[in-house]
Amino acid sequence: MSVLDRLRALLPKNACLSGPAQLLVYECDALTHFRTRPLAVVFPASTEDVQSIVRICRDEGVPFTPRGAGTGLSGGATPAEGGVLIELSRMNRVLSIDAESRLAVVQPGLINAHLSDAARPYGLHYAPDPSSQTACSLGGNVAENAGGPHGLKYGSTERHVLAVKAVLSDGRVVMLGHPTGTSHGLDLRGLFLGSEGTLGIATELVVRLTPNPEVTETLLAPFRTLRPACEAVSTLIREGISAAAIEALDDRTIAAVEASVFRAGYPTDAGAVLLIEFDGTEEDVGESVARTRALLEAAGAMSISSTRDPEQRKVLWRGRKGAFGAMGRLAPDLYVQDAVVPRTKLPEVLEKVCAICDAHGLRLANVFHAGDGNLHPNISYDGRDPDEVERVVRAGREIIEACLAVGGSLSGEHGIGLEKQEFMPLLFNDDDLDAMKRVRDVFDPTRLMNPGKVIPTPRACTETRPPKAVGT
Amino acid sequence: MSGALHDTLRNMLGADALVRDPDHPTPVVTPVDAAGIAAVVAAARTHGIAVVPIGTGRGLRTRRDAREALLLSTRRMNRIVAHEAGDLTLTVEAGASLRDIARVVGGAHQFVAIDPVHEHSTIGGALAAARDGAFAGRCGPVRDQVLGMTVVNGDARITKSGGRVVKNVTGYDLVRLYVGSLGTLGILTEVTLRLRPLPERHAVLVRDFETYALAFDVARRLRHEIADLTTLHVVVGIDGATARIRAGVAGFTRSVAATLDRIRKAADGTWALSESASAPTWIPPAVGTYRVAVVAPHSRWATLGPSIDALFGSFVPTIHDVLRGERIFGCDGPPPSARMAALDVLAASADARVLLLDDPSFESVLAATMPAQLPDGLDLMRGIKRALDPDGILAPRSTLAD
Ligand SMILES: Cc1cc2nc3c(=O)[nH]c(=O)nc-3n(C[C@H](O)[C@H](O)[C@H](O)COP(=O)(O)OP(=O)(O)OC[C@H]3O[C@@H](n4cnc5c(N)ncnc54)[C@H](O)[C@@H]3O)c2cc1C
Repeated sequence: MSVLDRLRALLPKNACLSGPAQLLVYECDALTHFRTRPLAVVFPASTEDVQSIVRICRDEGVPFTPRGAGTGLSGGATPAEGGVLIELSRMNRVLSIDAESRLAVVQPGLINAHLSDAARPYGLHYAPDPSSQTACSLGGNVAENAGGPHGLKYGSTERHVLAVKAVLSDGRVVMLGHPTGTSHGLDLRGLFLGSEGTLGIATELVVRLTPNPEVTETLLAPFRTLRPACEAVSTLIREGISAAAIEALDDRTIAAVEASVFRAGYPTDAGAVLLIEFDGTEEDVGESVARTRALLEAAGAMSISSTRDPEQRKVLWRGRKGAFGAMGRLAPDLYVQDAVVPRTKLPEVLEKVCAICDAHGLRLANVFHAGDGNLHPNISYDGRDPDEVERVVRAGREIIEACLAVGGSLSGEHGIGLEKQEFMPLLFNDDDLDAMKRVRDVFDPTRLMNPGKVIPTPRACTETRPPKAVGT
Repeated sequence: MSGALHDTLRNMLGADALVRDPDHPTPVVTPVDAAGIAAVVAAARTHGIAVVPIGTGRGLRTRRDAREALLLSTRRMNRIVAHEAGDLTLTVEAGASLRDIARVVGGAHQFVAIDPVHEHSTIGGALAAARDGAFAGRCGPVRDQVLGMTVVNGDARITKSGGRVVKNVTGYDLVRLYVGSLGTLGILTEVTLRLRPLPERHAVLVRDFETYALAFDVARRLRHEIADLTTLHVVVGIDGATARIRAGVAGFTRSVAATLDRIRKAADGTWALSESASAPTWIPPAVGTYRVAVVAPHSRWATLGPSIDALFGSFVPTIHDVLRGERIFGCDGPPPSARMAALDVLAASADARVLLLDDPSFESVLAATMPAQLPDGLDLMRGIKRALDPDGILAPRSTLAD
């Protein structure tokens, strides 16, 4: 029997797709740059299904790739040539909530925002809030160690996932970590977080829930240009202001947002706005807001408005979270970069990024997690223009080099995937990468599990097409 | 140490890199940089001798594996490499003491949220042991304070992982593996740490109760009602206290005052206030020569607590970290195995984990980890050990933080 026959025999009819038309949407994730057609897409309903699928693939020597919602921006869920894509979206249940312990046990296909919905009756929420949270899955968040605006205070996904049940490449099931968050021995859970589907397939997660804050206040501070806004961020960090989120949007992003359904009332005459949020006790928030206002004024904010009203806050955040979607209007295609720099370097690096895009004649819009130094330079372009595509690729590399030159890193939250492998040697030498490879081989000696991701390999099998717009 | 190895080391590193230690039969090797450590590891590999990394060497006397191994101390690697105050990051060599680090970053009103194991702790020792201290409830565990590191693996290669930025998903996060690995995968040479702003005020409210059960009840309520506690401990049988709550609050002067009021209102009674000028750290007093830690989800403590009392007595010296759901209690000798077995059974039924804190051998740690993990986790850990230390020469039996 062929792999396909064995998969069909194992799964219900609607849980195994292999028709060319059905496979089309599974050729890529939200980085449509890289496309490969899988042999089949399967939809397991349980850990046991995943084990069986993995065993079939292993027996037949067929590569396989886990996939959540496919919103990844680095090509992590792009299938391998002739490989099987294992989509976890049907394993999407909240299995239990222990409100006193502030824990939930969930399946990996659960959509991020749906967990907070389920926790709401207990006065709790799930803190990691990627802008894609209404679409992306918790399994995908684990695999990418996803961040989000509130990661500034609450940390990335790693801080909130205490234990992971995972299926390894030989079909074994392991439990990594512990619901109490203690790691004794080696922290395999910590290693698994951000491993981009190359070490195992998560089939169950124990996650931490966070009490809803007493008070939340959101500030909007427009600046004439981006530089003073970035300098203001550096000042806030240096002065020890502990905000829940500090986000920045430049004028191009503001224009795109205000012209879209995500309109948030950002001033269109500003060169940049900062969106800053505080949460905590009444006194804590009051004190933080007062100090922040003074610092922002001194830093040259054009005005400072703030609100505690939930509806108004939602509108302010709608603009930020819809920014990528809004940029879809600027040009047919959008390339979303993700890099991190030390926070004092924000002003100089952003100037450099702008200069790079100007030099290549490209349209750049910035929207980013400023408080973490996590940049997202977004380049709008037309994928049908090969010359422009070439310039986008070159600018992308120069931006990365500029970030690394000031002590930065390749990715703050979107991961390496296929996209950034070629840059890994800019940060890590052969010995560093070899240590990673050896660790991967402990989990997956077959190298069938999401091959060709994270660690640089020759890119033989993946068809590269011009980058396309992200899906939202 | 053989004469040949001694000569090799002296030729490589100079005579002053070999230091006599009264507690150890052969000299302690003290390289000054990562390359020196790599050279020592390479030489030890050639000579088939194990290397045990130590910080200052204070833990030497209690080390079971020290006799037959080459001791490598990072004491001469104690430089502050870079304090980027504006970025809230600090890069230091592994031998830097937590006390020196606190002094340097304290000058910029910052602190590192890692509790020292003892007052001479080096950062390398603290990270190797990674015992989460009083901070962890608020600032996250030790591993969260580490942004990147350089180590020398067992094959003498110098490797780096992570970076110097506060958010990073670039390749596998090997940092998570090294932190808490007791020096078994690599010898730490340099580390970048996350810093936090020092709170304006740090105050602790203390109140005594007649029984542990009463104190725990109140503490549990405080955890539920007071959102911004920094620390919350119930202490039993220590410093003359039958049962005492210590509730720490740190932050802006104004918000600390408000939170202290809230605590008093939530639990009416006589609270004593103490102020602390330093970071919101607390080195808990010793509870005994052998310490047992039980960590459990919060909802399990109401039944688990009394069961543990029934097993070990309700007056044994105990520190219950209520925010973290961890109870540490002491015994004067090794805890009787029958009782430990009973405790394991209790723990298994309560999603809890039992750890013997004073037997830090890699294997015992692995064994303690196992009840909560499916067995294959152990294979993976052993596989990683082989991958990063192929000859098994790093800290082969145990290592203690110092
Ligand atoms: C508009 C938009 C906004 C975004 N904003 C943010 C943001 O603010 N912060 C952020 O961090 N990211 C953001 N992203 C990126 C993306 O949403 C995240 O990386 C997300 O975590 C991916 O989840 P997913 O379910 O879509 O995973 P997928 O894209 O399907 O997969 C991502 C990776 O996870 C692996 N994987 C998936 N499920 C599993 C599993 N169960 N076990 C093991 N591996 C698995 C895949 O193999 C792949 O390597 C954004 C994306 C878009 C399109």
